[in-house]
Amino acid sequence: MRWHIDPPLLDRYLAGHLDPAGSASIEAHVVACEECRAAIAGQLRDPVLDAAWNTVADRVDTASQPWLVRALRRLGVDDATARLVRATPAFTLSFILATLLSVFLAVAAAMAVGRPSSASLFSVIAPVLPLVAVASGYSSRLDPAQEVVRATPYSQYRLVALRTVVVLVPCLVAGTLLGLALPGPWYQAITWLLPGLALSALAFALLGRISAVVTATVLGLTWTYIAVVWARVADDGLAPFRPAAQVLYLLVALGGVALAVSNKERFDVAGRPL
Amino acid sequence: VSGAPLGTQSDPELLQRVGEGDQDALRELYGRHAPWLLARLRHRCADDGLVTEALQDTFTAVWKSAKRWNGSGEVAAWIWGIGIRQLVGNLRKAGRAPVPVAEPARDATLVSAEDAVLVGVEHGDLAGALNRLSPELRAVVQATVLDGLTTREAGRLLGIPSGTVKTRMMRARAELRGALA
Repeated sequence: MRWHIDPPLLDRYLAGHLDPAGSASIEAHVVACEECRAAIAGQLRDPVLDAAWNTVADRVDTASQPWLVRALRRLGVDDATARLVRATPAFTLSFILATLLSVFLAVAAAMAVGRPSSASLFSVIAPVLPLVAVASGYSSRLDPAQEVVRATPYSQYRLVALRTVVVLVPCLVAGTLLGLALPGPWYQAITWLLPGLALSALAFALLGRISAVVTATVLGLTWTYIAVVWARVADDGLAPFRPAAQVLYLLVALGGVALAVSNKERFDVAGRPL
Repeated sequence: VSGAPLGTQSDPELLQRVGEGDQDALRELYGRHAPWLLARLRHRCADDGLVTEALQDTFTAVWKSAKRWNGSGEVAAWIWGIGIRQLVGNLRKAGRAPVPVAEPARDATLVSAEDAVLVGVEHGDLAGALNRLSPELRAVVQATVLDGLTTREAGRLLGIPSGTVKTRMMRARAELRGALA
């Protein structure tokens, strides 16, 4: 009962051989007729369709990704790496909250007891924050994407480097804000930065050799011990954070990065079975 | 809506799923509507690169704005409205002169009988009158009346000022009226 476009007519339309009025009426009909649309879909086997779909799927995929993945891809990081970076445990809200809360509680508890100055205490504890975040990016126990990471055939070194950088930025910002928020002199918000970077760089260098949990624990305890003893011996809570000490941390940070870069290959060989 | 296989769902149902972020529903919708849209856009612009781009942009826009479909009318008509505007927009962005589609070679004897049926015109010969219009006038009729573009959009598609679109439309109307009188 209903009229449909017959195959020869459809052929002439698709080939562009139909006169304008004929084309116009076919087009008007197609908008309203499901069967004729299906007929065109059956007839028009054009590779352009598949290629265009791939582009659309890619865009849709990108649009539904978390902003961090999109931002990384815009910076030229490939899709797989961006997703693995995003899967860094330090980005889960619970992880961030837990870490920030422990720093906060440690400082608050020490202040309640009324022992050393809050400024030095915060500066001792805060550098552990980026250390833990960086190390967690390579821990098999903490990383939900560890299976994927291990099965990924490209450089582990590159992934650890990227995760380190991506984790450090929010971590340093959060730590600085926390330093400003806690009671104490304003400079406690920045005195911890270089020690934090130094610890992160060392962790980055060691991750190719030692497991992440061991790295974080050893470095964290060593740092705390050194800082506390240093302050005692100098009888000055801020001694580990004065300019000369800061220069030392900067050198350690640079040395850690240099060590990591020179040991690139170890990440792929020794780094795997962490 | 949720349980049924995608292939058996209606266009509005699919579009609703697309609005909820279902990529498979978008794939199904693409399979149904991309072929005719590609064919129709190719009748508007001879540059296959621009046409392909418009096709991609259309379904990207469908993905983003599926929620804004008001639920009335044909989904196909809605998609066409997006598609032709993407083409017009890309033409403008590319700063390129539009590439008109070549006129088909006429085989009048073969065509006219079907035209009469297709357009359903038995009294006045509207199809014949439309075909007899000069290509410039017909392009304007097609863009405004059949494709639903505004004067400004039609001007962009055809690469002419919108004032010219208006005057050509007036002339085309006069000629069609004359042919049907």
